[in-house]
Amino acid sequence: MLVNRSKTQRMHIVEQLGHALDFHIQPLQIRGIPLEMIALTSLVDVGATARRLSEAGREHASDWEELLGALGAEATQEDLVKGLLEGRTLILQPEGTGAAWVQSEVQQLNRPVGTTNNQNILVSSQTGFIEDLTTNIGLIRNELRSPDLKLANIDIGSREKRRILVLSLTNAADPAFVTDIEKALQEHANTPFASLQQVSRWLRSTPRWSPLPSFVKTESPHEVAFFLKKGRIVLLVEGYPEAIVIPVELPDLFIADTDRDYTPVTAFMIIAFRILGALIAIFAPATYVALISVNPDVMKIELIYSIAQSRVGVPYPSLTEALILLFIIEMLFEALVRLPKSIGPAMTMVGGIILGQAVVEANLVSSLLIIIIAASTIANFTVIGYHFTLVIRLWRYIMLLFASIFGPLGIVCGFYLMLSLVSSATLMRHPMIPFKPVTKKE
Amino acid sequence: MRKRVRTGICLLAAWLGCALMTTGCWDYHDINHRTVPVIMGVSKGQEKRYKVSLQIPIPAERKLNVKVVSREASTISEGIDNIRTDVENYIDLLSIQLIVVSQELAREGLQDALTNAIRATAFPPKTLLAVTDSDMEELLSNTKKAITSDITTFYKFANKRAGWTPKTAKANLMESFSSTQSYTQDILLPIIKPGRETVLEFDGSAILKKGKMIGRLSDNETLVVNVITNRFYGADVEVLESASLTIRSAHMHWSSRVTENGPELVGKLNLQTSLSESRIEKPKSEHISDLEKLFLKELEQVTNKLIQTGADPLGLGNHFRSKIPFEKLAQWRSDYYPELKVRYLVDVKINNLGSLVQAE
Repeated sequence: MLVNRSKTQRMHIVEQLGHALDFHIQPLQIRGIPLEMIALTSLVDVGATARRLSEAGREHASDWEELLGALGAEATQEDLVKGLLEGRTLILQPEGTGAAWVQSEVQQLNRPVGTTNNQNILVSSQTGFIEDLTTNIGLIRNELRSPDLKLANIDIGSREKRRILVLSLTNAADPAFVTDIEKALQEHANTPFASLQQVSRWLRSTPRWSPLPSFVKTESPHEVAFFLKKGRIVLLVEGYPEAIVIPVELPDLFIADTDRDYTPVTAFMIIAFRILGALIAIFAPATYVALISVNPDVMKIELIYSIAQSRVGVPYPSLTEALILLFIIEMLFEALVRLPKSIGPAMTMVGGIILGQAVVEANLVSSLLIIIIAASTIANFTVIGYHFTLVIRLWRYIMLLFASIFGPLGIVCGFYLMLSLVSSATLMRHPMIPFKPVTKKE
Repeated sequence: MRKRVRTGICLLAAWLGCALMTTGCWDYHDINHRTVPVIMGVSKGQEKRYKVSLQIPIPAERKLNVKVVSREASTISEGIDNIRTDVENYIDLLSIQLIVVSQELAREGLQDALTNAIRATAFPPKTLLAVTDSDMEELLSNTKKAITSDITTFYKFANKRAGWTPKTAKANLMESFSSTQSYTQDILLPIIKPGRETVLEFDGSAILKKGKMIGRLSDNETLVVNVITNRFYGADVEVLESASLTIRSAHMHWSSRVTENGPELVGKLNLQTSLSESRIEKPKSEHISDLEKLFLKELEQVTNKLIQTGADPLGLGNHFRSKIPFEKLAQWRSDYYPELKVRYLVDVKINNLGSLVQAE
């Protein structure tokens, strides 16, 4: 269908985009009909597109409509500016009476599919998602060749739209849950998209102030297929090279999809170490403070004296001591994230080895604490997912506070609070701790 | 809405404030500002009733400074308090490993002191108790050197996994206290004195009856007591005329009954032994019968000696708790115990004859 509109159509486009550096408007004559081609050079390879259009045929076309047919053009229906921003190419009659979309030769803006960047995959497929949605779907289909894969498309945003895809496996996922999620996203279709956290708020994760993330992020299509088969729902957000898996369940912290590639015994060992790691990360500094300041008497006498000797001359109470060192470590983490890759190792050297040694020699902290903080920091990263690492980092401080006030009893209190927080966390009435009767999936 | 949030926050702050107030966390002492005495000595003072001595290791960089501080006072807690005033660090008694009581005090009776120690909860109930007949200051100073190099010296004496042998008695504060309250059980305390080459010398054990020391047992008698009370752990070499046998384990099984002539006990002892030295070529069966005879003699001798003193550190009365009415149990020490007849059966097995061939 050809849409004839007044010349203001062209005026409108020029007004909105004419100032842009990449705005391109070019007169062309194809099969004897003069027309104008409009596109954004940053998104469209204009030269190649014009060449292709010119090669459409030699003989003269009788009218505009025949030309469109020959070019395989598509009628314009929506806002022309939006179409241009999406990387489409517009052809206009010089008088501005007719307009149509033609196939663009797109500029290559996406990186090629490669390995994952921030996630190490030991066994299983090494490919990782990229920023392009279509490629990502392709990667998932490559892992999961199933007709049951259901995709729902939701555009979020007021002026600029961001595409979110909701993926689920119809034979595994709870259909009511899928509809709930889609509905919750649809309700906010006109809200500007700001962050993934905002999306998780839309999905009504409770409690609102909870530090626990309501989703797992993964860069691996292999893992996405694993989660889909388990009945989870996967969100793909345009521009994010990660898939978002909802809802999160507690075992996701400790059990990875790739564990199934090991023998059961070794997999069990690895999982046990991850759980132990999380516990050490949370408890070690708190236990130090509780035992040093509040209840040294629960330790063996040998230990009491060896610790007391290592702390001779340390001027601060153990809480201050632990906080000093923890803050240094936290700053080291933050600095390492910002630093270019070439300076990172030097920073680790200065921060970890030199500072650690010097701080002990200056009698600011005891050498035992260095060991404990180091152990706790290493253990922190044994859990799966950076989001959870942050929660553990936070909870370490809460435990430290409790321990310094109430001693070993405080550790128990803090642990109790942590367990109740984890148990009360839900996303769309879906609890984080999945206590439910075992049902066979797939 | 906002008002409700604000009151909520105020309440939360108040609640947290109250919670913080109750903790007393500002009174905590860091580990390097505490001193944890390992041994406490209590003896008779010259002017006042008690003389309390504490051996206090004060942590310094890479070593310990061990001090022995003594103060006289009319009560034990006053004595500790006097020491606390004079020592620079906070004294934490909750890790005390050993309390040594002088023999004079033990003879006067420890019941009150034990009751107070348990009541005050200043000492851990697992603290070991010992009696000494030598000078307390000398004992504590003598052990100073050993403590400086290894803080756990005393602890090791009483530890099954370290230096404890079945020839020494072992009793902790809680056991001693409960024996003073029990109708049917008394306790033995080890007697220690400063050694010349070794840190300590064990000099038998003290028999406590209702918290009062009434006699002593020698090393070997203590071993027998440990065998009878099933506290035999580790190994002990028993020298016979022709051989020496190492006892690997000893177990006693009791059967009790009350007859018209008074209470009767039969103890069946199972000994697992191995042959360590043999002087004359003698068959195994003779070693067995020798050892059985030896043990029978010793068991009967010690039991009779203890029955004569009237104290029951073997806990023989415990076997009659279900057979004598509870109201009469209070008279166990006076009415039943002197009448008690104990018969022993000893069963010896030699499990290991070594690599050499031995005649049957």
